[in-house]
Amino acid sequence: MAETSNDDGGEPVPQATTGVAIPLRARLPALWPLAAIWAIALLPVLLWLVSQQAPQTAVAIANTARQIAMQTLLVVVVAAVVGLMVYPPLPAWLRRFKDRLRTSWSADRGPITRALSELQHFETAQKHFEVAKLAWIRSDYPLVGKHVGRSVELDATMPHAQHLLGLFSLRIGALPTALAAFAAAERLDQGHAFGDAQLHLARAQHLNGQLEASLQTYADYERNHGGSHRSHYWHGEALLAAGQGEAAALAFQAAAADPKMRLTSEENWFRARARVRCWRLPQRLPQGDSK
Amino acid sequence: MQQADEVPVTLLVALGYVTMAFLTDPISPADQQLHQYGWLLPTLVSDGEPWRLLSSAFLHGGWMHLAFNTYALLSTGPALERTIGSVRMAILYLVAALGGSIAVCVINGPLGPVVGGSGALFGMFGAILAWQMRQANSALGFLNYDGPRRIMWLIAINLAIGMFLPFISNTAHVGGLLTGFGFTFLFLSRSNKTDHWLPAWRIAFAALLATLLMHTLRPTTRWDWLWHQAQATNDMQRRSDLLEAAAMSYGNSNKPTAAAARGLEFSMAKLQRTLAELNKR
Repeated sequence: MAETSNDDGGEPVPQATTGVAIPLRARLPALWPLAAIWAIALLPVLLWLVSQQAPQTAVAIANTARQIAMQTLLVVVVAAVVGLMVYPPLPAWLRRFKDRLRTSWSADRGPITRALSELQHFETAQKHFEVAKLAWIRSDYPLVGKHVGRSVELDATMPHAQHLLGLFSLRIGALPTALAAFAAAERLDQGHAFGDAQLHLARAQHLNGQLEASLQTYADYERNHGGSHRSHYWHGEALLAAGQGEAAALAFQAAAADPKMRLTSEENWFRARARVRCWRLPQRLPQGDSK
Repeated sequence: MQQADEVPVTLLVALGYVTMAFLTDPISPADQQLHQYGWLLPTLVSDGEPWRLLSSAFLHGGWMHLAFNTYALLSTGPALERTIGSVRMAILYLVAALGGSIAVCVINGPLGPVVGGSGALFGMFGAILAWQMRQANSALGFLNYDGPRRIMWLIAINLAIGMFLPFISNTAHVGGLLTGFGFTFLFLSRSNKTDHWLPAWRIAFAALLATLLMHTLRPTTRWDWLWHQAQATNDMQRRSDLLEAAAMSYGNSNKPTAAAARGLEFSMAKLQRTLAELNKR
């Protein structure tokens, strides 16, 4: 991170550096199908190698693998059916997964390809941001990291680029960068993205161990923008971490409240998790309402 | 390459279907004829006749089977061939046929014969979907068009029919479909600048196909292959190990039982009698 002065002569605005290393956790969704294919591909080779020495062992491995696969499949199917009926986060997760997949797979490739071609001839912060934004929709984190970092490097006064840098950094666990980026986005454009930058700033502060600042930011966010299922849920987690159990229970209760309208899959996911939190914290609920 | 791309591969494949049908019997070919011209019997593939993996994709089990597959080939093949080129079409047909046959050998029992080009035809359907996914503005953009949607329905209906009719090998259909889709998506269609993972996926796909082919040719955990290996070796200890492993595989348990050993000997004796009958001219 480096800091430069804002064009308006205001506070210094953080700059990100390019070439961000994506941790394995963030790359895992793209890696596990490949790992599964390699595991299946290597099994025949393994069996052949074993059978050269002990053919019975190879057969025993194959039989055992088949039995384990069938039993696992059965357990997964039964657990999924039961979970869908009694555990709210499971259907909520499925709905969110489906929506994310649909968004990612429906994202138009044209603009990203065009922007990448244009960047070969002339680079601007806005073009880098466009590539990063589309790559973010497609969960292409290496591409996001490369272009959002460069965008902020070229022009650190774009709040939307700072916001995206914050989201990306939060996703990959680079908390100091996320904190600086969300703070910059909020400073450059107060209430940026309908308060989303402020909400994520509070989340980043909580995850970074700055609990008091985080609780203050959550309170500011809820005062300025009203609460959402997600903000109440995150606020509840921060309160719980700060040892304020009753306030946390109230926040979770607010997050789990009946929405009266169909929620987006993201909001629904946090509401479902809040409902489970309410089950786990019944003694702290003033009215014992755990829907 | 340009000259090669002018060869009408679809027509040649259709001619191959008809020629093979007349060499056997276009109305109702006998098992003996189909066996001699290369039906897919997994035990024979692993016993030194790998050409059956491809020859079976040109054979059909009767006039109705031949008519359905030729109709499907001639309805979808020419358009696909014009799109991807004749050389790629030829490669696609053979790779999809291979994928379907490998699926049959790996998943089905060793003694069930299979004929027909439908595995390769499903590979062509998969190739059309993969091509559309690559060409559209987004991965699901092709669903906005009527043609690819119809192909998806065609695949779904045919797989559903295959689930209810015991003489249709859905294993070959699914194997061909996945192979054709994967091969076209990764190797035949245009890649774009954001495909960082493409080389890794290409290597993984090729490795999977290669090792499954290896397992098809040397199914180290299948009782018929183990039994054949036991008959071929002079090392008595190795023979005993192989027969024990064969009995375990036949009985599908981790300990060889006397019943499994008897069942194995009976099945292999029956197979040899059947093959002797089929090989009579």
